[in-house]
Amino acid sequence: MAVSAPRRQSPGRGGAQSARAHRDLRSTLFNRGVTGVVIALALLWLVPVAWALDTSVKSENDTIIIPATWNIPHFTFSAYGAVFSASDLGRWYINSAIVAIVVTLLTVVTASMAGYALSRRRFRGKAFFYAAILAGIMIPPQALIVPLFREFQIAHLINSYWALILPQVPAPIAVFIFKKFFDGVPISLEQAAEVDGANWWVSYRRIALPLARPAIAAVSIFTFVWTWNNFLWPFLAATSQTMMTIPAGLGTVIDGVGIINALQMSSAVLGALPLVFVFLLAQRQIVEGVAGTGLK
Amino acid sequence: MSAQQHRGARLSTGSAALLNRRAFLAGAAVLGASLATAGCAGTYDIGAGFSGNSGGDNRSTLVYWNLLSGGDGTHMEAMEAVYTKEHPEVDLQSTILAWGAPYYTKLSLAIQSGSPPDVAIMHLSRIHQYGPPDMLTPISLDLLAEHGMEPKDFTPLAFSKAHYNGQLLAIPLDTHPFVQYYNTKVCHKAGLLDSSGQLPAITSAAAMLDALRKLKKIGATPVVCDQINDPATPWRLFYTLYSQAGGQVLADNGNRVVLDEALALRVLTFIHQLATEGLMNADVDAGGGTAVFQAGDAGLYWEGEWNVTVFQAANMSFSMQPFPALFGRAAAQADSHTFILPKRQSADPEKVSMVLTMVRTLLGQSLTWAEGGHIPAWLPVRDSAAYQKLKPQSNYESVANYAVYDPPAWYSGSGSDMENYLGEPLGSLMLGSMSPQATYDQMRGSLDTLSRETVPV
Amino acid sequence: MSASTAPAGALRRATTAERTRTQRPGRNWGNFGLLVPFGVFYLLFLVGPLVYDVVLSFFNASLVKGGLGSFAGLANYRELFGDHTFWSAMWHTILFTLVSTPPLVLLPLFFAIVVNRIKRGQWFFRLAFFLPYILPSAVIALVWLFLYEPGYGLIDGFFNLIGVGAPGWLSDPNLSIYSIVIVTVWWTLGFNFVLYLAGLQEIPRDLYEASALDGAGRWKQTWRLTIPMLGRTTTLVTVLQIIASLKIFDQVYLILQGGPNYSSRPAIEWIYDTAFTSQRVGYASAASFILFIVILIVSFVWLALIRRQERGV
Repeated sequence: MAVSAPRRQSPGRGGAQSARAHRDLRSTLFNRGVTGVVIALALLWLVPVAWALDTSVKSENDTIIIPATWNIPHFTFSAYGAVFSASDLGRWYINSAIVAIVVTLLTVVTASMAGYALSRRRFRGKAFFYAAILAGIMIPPQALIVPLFREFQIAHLINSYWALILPQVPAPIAVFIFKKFFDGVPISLEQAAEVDGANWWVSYRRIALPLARPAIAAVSIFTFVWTWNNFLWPFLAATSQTMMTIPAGLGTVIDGVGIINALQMSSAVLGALPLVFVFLLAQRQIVEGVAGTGLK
Repeated sequence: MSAQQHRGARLSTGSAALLNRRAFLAGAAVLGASLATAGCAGTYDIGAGFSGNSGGDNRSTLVYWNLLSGGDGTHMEAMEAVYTKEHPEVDLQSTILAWGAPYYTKLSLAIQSGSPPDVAIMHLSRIHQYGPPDMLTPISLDLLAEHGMEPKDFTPLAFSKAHYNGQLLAIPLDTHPFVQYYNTKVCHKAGLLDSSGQLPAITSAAAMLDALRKLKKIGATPVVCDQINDPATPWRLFYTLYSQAGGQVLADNGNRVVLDEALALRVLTFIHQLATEGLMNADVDAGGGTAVFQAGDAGLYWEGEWNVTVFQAANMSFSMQPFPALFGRAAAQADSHTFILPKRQSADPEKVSMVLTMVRTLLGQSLTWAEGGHIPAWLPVRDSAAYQKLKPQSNYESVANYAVYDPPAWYSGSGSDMENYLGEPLGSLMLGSMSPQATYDQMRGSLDTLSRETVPV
Repeated sequence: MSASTAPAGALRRATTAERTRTQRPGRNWGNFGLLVPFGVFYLLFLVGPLVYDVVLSFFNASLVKGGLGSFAGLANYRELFGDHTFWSAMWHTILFTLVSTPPLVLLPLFFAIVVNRIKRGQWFFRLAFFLPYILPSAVIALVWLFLYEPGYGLIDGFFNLIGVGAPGWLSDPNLSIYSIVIVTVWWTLGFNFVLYLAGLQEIPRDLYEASALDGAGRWKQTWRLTIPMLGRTTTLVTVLQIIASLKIFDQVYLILQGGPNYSSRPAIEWIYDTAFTSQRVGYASAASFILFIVILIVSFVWLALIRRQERGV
């Protein structure tokens, strides 16, 4: 923050300069104060996570001390060990990874094709299809759980990866983002790359996809995160522990007899770890990707 | 360049790098996953995940669902281990699902879809939901005898309730009642213990208030009983006291509501008084209640018996007894864990036999189960010297004979609508934030609505 | 987006005519084919179930019995209109949206404006505010249940430290919605924060320089320049926030289960309870449809506002 120093007053030029100096000082203090407030709030924002970490390395009996304290009388990793033996966390990691990766791939492919078609290709009823897809953004997915469940029941696919993956693929918002992105691509770039009379597949593969890197990045990221963190549908569709994803599995850890605070906090930490790891590696890109979705 | 083009270019370079890194991450993840699967092919059968196979169709697998977590889960695993040791040719796949409505919903859906587990745990109170629509395989007494079990081997009350329309549909494992824990040190300080160091039975509401006031005087939490995020416990407290007063809730399989206003208000007023006089701490959830009692702050603790191992592990000076009869006769709310054989599309006698063998083996391990606090339904163990020596668990074994199960209806039972609808206002009552009359009105209203709904089972 | 008026050879956006100029007529089926993969998923897993939902709402369908059950006509809707538990749930959803949207729109704006000025260390604020957003709801629930716990919870401990009695976050029916609002603000503020930061970086530097030369101080710059330029972003954030709030479920279900005494149960949890615990699928589907209509109306209202704003800008 640039701060202008109050100017030395020379006799005769007093009034205006001292007023500005005064204003500068007040403005500086105000800025410093406001920044301080935001720093304090940012630290406050970190408290819940820090508390979870702190609790996860305590022995269970130390987690119920009243009043709560950050002290760790007996440091131990036993809660972490207990998570792996008490639950199928390893399997949940794998399930979450498989489901999230496959959904992301399928979503990016289908949505980019659709977005490209709606933006660049000509065909009948285009406006109608675009409107129909947009309307899909407003459907609350939780309202569809019963019909979806029945569909997979009839197909005998409950408690399988198909049940976890397929319903999460159609994402109208992804189509919207791709379309908006393709709308914004400069025409000359496309012209330069285009072979005259290219058919739709070549056009898509050779031209659209390479241009769409930023949109692909954005859609991949938030699809991956949203799929990984999706709770309700996997919770219902996975009827055995071996098929659950991390959020669904953690939903069963919330319940339990006795004092299990350290166990719950260590499951929370372990459950959050994969995405946090990815986030730390690619922080700037993730944030840019998310921001890129919103702006035109 | 304009701002937008600038941003576009920036995004492109950033995203190109990102794409490379993402590709790397994705590749690493998939590689890692495949390595894990290759290395643990037996344990992590990804292929099964894609075929949706619940595994129960296999001749040599037994799929077993239960909702036993925590200490119960550990005991059940120990019991299962005995079975798998005796029968190494059987692959016992046991799945633990969360307690409550989702468990029963998933179970119903699995049965309906034709690929249910081979055997599952069901609370006895739920038999009115699973009996009528023909979802359970009946077990003939002959079949039972072939596998070493006879009616006389089980707690009479639980065994009789395991029938529907004259057929045996479930095999009881235990009875788990609502009980009273007490901290011997704290109660001694309040002068409540008798000469042998035990808490004598409290036989009236007035006597209970008296005892609680004495505890309050020495600065302890007189009694702790949880209700946050837990409508089951308030329901159990109410139903215990109300049944002691001789009241009935439902009749005619749940089609008629016979909740007696006068009796209910007697009980509700008592509970309200505990809250307003500061004699009960209900501002805790299940974990919090356990914590308060374990910390030695409370004299009494009202809860199901399953916390016994927690307090033993904490080396507490405590004991347990049947819930005191405060309103006349002896009664305590209870339920039973039972084994059920969900109905399959086509009957499979060999599978049934496997299941019954497993059940018989587990029943033989009832002492392990009893350590977790439950009263075994398998009488050969319950009447044994070993169980009688198990203290404080055997203190309340008589409750199995006079326990009150949830009133029969399709909408009642453990984790059911009725438990939730009634438990919620009762929870507010326990905090003193709802009046007895308002609580009764809300309970009555909910029951009226439930009894009039079209039966979906 | 309008095409700029730069000379032909420079980079500019395509007009619609140009976009489709090079395509031969009669190639339509191939173009249409690009839409098919998405369309299949869309029909099978979004539109199809929605239609099935509507159909179910006219029957007394049960979760545990297959098929549609007996025909009910409009009985489900009639019962729904008189069902005060459903309208309480709708009210909880709306109240939650009204209470949580202002802080989730204004706080991140404020944070973004301040953080944007900080030369070094922006990564710290991005980490602090955005980290909660990538955590799954189950993790959030575990952590906050533990924080809110009476007695040994950290929040209780803090109140005791300052000598004030702690409110009943989990047990007071009047407070329950606000307990969830606090959790949600903590959890999702980061997403809006990032959107605002990006929007701020879009604003050309020269505009600031020009206004500084005019003698405008920081505060005036913010008020007269930054905030109006963020108009589009703010509208987007608000719309997304409102639609997301109307769909709230996870954290209420996991932390409070709609309690205490149903004081926090939102519409979607009502639908879930009715379908999966009470097993009345037809009845729940009628409610789903009503909720969908409400969200549709709200979305249309906001879309109209955005349109008007875009035309005016």
